[in-house]
Amino acid sequence: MRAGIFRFMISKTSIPNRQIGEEIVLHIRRHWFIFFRLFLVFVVLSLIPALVYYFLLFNLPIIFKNQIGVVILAVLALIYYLFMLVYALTAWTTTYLDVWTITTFRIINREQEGLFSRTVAELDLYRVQDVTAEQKGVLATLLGYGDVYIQSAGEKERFVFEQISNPYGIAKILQKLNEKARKENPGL
Amino acid sequence: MIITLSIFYYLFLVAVAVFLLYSLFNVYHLLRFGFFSLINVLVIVLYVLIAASFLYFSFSILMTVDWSTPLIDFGNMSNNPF
Repeated sequence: MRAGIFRFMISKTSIPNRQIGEEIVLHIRRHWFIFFRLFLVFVVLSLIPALVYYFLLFNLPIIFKNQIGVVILAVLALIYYLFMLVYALTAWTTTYLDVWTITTFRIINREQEGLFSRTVAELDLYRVQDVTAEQKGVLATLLGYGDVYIQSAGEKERFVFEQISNPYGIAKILQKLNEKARKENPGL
Repeated sequence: MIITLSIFYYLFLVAVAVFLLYSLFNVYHLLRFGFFSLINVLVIVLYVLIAASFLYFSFSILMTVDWSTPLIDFGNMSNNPF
C-alpha cells in the first residue's frame, strides 16, 4: 500500500498498454559499479573545499585573520556544497531512471537523458533482427558489465542497453524471446 | 556608496533558490518516473533530510554574520578590507 506522494510512482509490475498474456521478463538497470563510480566522483568532489582550505591556510593565511575573508570563503564553500548536492541527485536521477524492460512481447526503453529530456520507446520482439553484446575495458570485463545492442527491422536507430550486468546472458534471453516471438508471428 | 558583505548573503540566497528548484525537478522525476522501490523511496527521503539539514546548518552559521560590514567603500577607496 502506497501512501502520500509515493502513490504516483510506477509499479514494477505495470506495463504500459499491456497486451493480453504479456508478462514482464526483466527490468534492467545499469550495473551497480556505475552507481558506485558516481558516488566516488562526489566523494572526491566533496574533498575539494578542504584541499582549498589547506592550500589557502598555508599560502594565504592572511585571509583567515580577517572576518570578511572567512565569511566570503564560508559562503563560497556552502554554495559549492549546495550545487554538489543537487548535481549528485541529478546524476543519480539520470542514471537511475534509465530502465530497460523486457516483456514476453516487447522491449521497453526508458531513458532519462537529462533533467529535461526523457525518451520512452518500445520495440516488438518479433521485429528484432540482431542482438549484439559487448564488454569493453578491464573493469567491464572483471565486473561483468557491458552494452547490448538491439537492431530492429526497418529501424534506423538501435536500442542500446548501456552498462548493464551480464550483457551476454541478457543477449541470450533476447535471442530466445525473439525466436519464440517470430514463431508466434510467422507472417510478420 | 558602500557595498556591504550582504552581497554574499544575496548570492547565497540565489544559490539556495536554484538548489531548491533543481531539487524539486529531480524529486518530481523520481516520483513520477521512478519505480516504487525501497531504494528509490530511500534516496528521496534521504535527500530531503540531507538537504533540509544542510540548509538549516547553513542558515544557522550565516545568521551569526554581521552582513552590514562594509566590503567596498567607493567614497573612501583606500578602505581595503584586507
